[in-house]
Amino acid sequence: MAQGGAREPLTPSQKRFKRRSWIIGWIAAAIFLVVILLLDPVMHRPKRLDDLLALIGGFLMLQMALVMAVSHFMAPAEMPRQRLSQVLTPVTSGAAVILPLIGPDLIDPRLNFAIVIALVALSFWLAWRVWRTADELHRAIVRDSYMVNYFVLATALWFYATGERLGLFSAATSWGWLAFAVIITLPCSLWVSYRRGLDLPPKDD
Amino acid sequence: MSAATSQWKACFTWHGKYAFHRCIGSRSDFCMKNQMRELRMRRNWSQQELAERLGVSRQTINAIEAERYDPSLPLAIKIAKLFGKPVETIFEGEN
Repeated sequence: MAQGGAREPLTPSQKRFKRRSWIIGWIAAAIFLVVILLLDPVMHRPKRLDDLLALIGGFLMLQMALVMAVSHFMAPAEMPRQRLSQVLTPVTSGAAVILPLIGPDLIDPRLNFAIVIALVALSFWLAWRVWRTADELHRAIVRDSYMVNYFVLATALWFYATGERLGLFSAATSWGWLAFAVIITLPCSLWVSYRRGLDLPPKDD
Repeated sequence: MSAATSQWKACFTWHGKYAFHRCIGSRSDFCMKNQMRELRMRRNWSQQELAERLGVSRQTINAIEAERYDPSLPLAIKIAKLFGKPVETIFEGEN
């Protein structure tokens, strides 16, 4: 299996492409930092680590969607069939993680729960559409990402559960584990994409 | 020197220092090389153009050319037919 092969020096156009991608990423990060600060007053639960993880995970998903949307807009010929689904999948997942953090005075908890269920179902359907329309490289990336994700989660759960059983750690909530799962999804898929060369800019010269 | 060590060294010599990592990391018996970029450049096709002819994404062509991804057998045969060459002349595995 070819992975992590030799990296040739970048041409000027490839350097421009990389620089542009970095700029988009930083602009997206700045936008979402402002949004997080605006959202902070409407969060109803006391500041807890699992809530903070969920908030960061949700916004990472939304940021990923924004970066993909801008990238697709700048290079419309790339993956035209799955563009919309690919952008909307992290939007629905990110929103489903952030919504439960919003207080009951703004959204009724039962309505909030119903919306989250609908968003998760929509996210699954969109992910299925992306899979159906993806070519073999992108399917390989999805498969490998899920595999890496599973191993990271299972190992962390094993260690934490052992520590908890032995009285070394405090009990973790299922919400905390969900937040952790969301948080690690992004680095896992980025790492797999990097190994498969998805970060490499076009090389036509 | 064990067989595994000589394999690492061979890959290191042929493809440069980063390929060393690739051959060890995948525990592969082969270091895959291909002639995709040369063949495409000879026809003056862009990566996007070749991708459209093969029905895959531009990133797939880029990853194959950069030897980051080995295509499936059906895609390799499709590539060989498009360039009018046998598969083994486009894709080579080195022990």
